[in-house]
Amino acid sequence: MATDAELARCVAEGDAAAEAELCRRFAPRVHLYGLKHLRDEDRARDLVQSVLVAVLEAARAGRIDDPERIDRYILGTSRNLALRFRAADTRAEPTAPAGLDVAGALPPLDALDIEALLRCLQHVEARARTILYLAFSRDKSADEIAEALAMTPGNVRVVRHRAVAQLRDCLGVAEAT
Amino acid sequence: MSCRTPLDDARLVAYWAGDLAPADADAVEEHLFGCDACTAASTRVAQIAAALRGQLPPVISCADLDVLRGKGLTLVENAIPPGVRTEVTFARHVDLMIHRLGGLALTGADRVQVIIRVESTGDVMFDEPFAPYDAERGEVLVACQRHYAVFPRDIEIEVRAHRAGAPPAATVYAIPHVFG
Repeated sequence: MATDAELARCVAEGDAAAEAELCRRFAPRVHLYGLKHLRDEDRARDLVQSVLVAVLEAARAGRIDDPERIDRYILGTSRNLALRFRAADTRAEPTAPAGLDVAGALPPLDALDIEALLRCLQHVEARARTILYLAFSRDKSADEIAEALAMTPGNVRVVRHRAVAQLRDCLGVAEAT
Repeated sequence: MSCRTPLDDARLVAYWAGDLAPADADAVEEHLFGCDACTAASTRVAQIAAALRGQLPPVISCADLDVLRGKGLTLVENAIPPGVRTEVTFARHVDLMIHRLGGLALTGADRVQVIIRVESTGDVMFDEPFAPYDAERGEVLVACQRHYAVFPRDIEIEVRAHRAGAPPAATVYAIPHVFG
């Protein structure tokens, strides 16, 4: 299998198959970055498209100085464009160049069944459930949660991690294939 | 697909909870962009985080309620007085019931805590230490959602107003639910 750097070099030489493979490989990574920083599925998908368009255009034009560090280049592009998305607070309207199949390169993040999630949450110990809620729904840090629940921040982190693992097991969130 | 130095799960959970220092979060992202295996592991945590974040919280603010009204949902609002057992029915055509827990003295509270329990067992289903509240109206809003039908129906809600230097002032509401 070609390395990321080899793919970047092939893109510079006009290899369409290398472009497709580069997109397939990096789309999920940019998508996760978008979900983390933009907190919206549609905007995350817009980010994927904008980033991949920018990266392919740069690679085709030979503007990626160090193909060995193509992953850092794509991360940097993701950071810059996510900042712009947030500053504009609006969805971008990227234009895909011919041959860029973002939808094909990006399987949707499987949404979990809400009733199943609630059933699984019932099996999580009450304090751990509260910690999950405060961490992910109220965006409270481990320090803030620890203060409210009279725990140590370290203990909050351990309980939070174990509770996520318990939910993942209960929901049968698929292992990577 | 393997990784010689995989990110451990606890770190990925902290990353998705937004609980890493900026430099640590940057390091996680640098690793993820170069690693298929850890991207797959991160995706599994992201699914859980997204599902938890996507839930409407059981206790909502007046601003949240305005947003819900704007979505065209069929809402039923129940004024629930303290100390009076109030049975509520979640009718089939209703999207959301809003329980207005009233009669609360919340002025000057540092924070308000809402604990939802199963009345018959005392089991805590939900504990919100930083609940939104309306001090002026003396009210807390609880958003009862249809998928809560999977939970026990005999619900008791305790609202605690925390003030510095004093024990919390607790008010209890018994609200048995019927789902149509």
